[in-house]
Amino acid sequence: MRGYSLFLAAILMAGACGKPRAREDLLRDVVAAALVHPPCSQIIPSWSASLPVPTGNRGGKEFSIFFFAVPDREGDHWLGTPSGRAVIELDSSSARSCERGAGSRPSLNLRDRFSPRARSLGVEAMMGKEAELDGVLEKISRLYSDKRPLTSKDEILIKRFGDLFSLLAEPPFWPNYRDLNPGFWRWAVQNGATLPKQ
Amino acid sequence: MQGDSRWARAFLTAALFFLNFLSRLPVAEAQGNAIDETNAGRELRWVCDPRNWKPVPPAKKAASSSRRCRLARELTAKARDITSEIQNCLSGNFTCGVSQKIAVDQKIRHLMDQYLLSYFLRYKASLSLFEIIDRAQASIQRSSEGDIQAGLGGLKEIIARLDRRLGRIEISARASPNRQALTEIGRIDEQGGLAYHDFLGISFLIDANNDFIEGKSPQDKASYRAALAERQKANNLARSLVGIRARLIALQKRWGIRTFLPLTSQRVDKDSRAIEQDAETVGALRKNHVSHIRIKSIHPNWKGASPGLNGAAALGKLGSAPKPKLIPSMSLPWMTKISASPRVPPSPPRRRLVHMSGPGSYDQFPRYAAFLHWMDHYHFSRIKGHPRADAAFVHRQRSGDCAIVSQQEVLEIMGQLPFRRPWQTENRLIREAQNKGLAIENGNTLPAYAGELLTSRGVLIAKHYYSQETKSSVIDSDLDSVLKRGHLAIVAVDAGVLWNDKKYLNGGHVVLVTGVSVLPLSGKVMGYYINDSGVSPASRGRLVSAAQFREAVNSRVGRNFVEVLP
Repeated sequence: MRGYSLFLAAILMAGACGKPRAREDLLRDVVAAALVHPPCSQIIPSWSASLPVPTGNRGGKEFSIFFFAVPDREGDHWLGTPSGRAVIELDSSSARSCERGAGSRPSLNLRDRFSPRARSLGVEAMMGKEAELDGVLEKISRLYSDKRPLTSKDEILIKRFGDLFSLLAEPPFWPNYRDLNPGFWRWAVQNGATLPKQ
Repeated sequence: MQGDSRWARAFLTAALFFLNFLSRLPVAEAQGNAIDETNAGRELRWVCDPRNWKPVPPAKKAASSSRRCRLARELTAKARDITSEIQNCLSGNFTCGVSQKIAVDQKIRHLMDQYLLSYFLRYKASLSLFEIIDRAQASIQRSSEGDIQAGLGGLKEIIARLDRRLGRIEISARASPNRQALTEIGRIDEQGGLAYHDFLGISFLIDANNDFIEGKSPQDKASYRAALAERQKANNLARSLVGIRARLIALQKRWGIRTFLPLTSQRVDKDSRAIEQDAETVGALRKNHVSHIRIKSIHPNWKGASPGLNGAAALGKLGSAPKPKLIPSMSLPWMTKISASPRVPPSPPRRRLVHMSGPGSYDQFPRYAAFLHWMDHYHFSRIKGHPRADAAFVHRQRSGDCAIVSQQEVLEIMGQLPFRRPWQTENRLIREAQNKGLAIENGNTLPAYAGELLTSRGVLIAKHYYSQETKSSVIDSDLDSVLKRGHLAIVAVDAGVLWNDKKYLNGGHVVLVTGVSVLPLSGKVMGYYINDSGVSPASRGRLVSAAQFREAVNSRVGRNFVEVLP
């Protein structure tokens, strides 16, 4: 009986002391926290944030994003141009830097926001893919920052990233994504990612 | 004291350096160092001649260049004015007070917003001016927080004393109110008013400056914990004030003087007009609490008292200064909460709720939403809050001003604004928010200043921001506990998830949550009642399933809300 209790205690201890599982939604929460803390909270209104792009700094924990306006009134069919950008870090609730441009002009059509393949997905599926992309992005960012030789598993991961990004990124903003860090996109394409032509 | 003086000198010197830099900008361009400006993918090159402030030919975009040159000329003139102000300050053996420093800071920030936002941000890293200004203000903030806490302690003592006295007095229905007690009530009201205005200043400073609290850099993780703790402290102060106000209202009711109080929306309108006018004339965009807490012009009884950053000093003066009247006329915003009958829509009294459930609606799970309605209809679940009454106050927003419309709804529900011509009121609020620097074009509100339109009208709020470490379950339980207490909440959500439309995914939106549907025994939240001004027709008291709403809250653009204290 005593041995059985010890066995149970050992299992519990092992469970408690194990390495905590990484949160897949961490990147999403970092963006959300950065928006409500200074400096972004004082200059960026409730605009939409883009998908993060790794900068390659700080051990792969730093990302760049840009902001654009999405209508918060149903029935409006415009889409704002990117008009602000920020650099965020995984370990901090704040943005390292944040700047706003001349204003988000509604010059694009909201119906063209996503690629035809993404339009066939439902909201739930899109959210799921976005969460998956966030998880993959964290790993990819570390790989990009380390600059070490890649294994076949890494290449599969990069390919997966390319697929997810092509699906979820807004086609009118592909040039803006490229401008965030052109070196990263070159590295991703060289290592097997299939990215949309920009 | 010496330390303060050193800070202030450093601040002014840095301001001079900064303005010098500003005034050199166009000259540098004239010397041939053209500035490239990326504007939505297009590159504009512009060069100004400093002699006549016209673009040097051949300018590619003549209209744009001449406009920019005109702006540069205005900017230089204003920068010179401020420079001379600072030099006057320095030459007078350093006699500049806190208010002058804040005024200079306001002017610089106004310049920044009006002319050169992008340039300032670009050069922000190299200039230490902002940091110095913010540190100076953080030190001011700390001192005023001590003041307000001392004031609150004094208030609690007075209330306890009055309570004891009232306990000894036998009040008959016809007895006239005791003069001494009325004087005490008047004192509580006045001191409460001062504490309230001090709170406004502190709350605003916390929102504006929390990245520089205690001199820590914004990248420091600990500084954000400190910032969140500061916000929490402000929330607690707000709760204390609400408690004291409720106690005061109870005392007034007990003495039967409530009916004499001239607390009408007209008075509030007058106050807000004064605030609006003040903001326009001073030109203060951000941190204009100093101007809008100048209440001398609003209330004649307050002559001599100088509330605001010197709250303790003002409290000290009150003993000898204005004697309260027999029936105090309490018209300050902090007391306007006791409107006749809040939560009762004046006109029309009841409207049919538009639930918008069923197939083809905004619900991710239409059948489940229909089930929730069925539960509510047959009283299997309990409703916390007053979603049916509050539903009448929503209207469709005109532009991207969902946060402003949500605040307007709260003010109308609380009886602080008349429920007439909602679009006209909306336009006025947008103008006010833009004048105060709380919102940008189209009424898009900046997250740091969410809820400021409420506090300027006497509605106290608690702001809930979360760091990236906070788990979504914690945010959900915080929101639930607020709503289960029957409070209103202005919540940031993802429009795409809330409307079940992927076109709007990651679109920042704000809705007013008016109630929750809970299971009676377990207390589990089944759904949220929201007033959403963004859909057409505006959804009045739409019941959203808990899963869908929580997903919308825990998004890239969510994870923060403002609690409206009763």
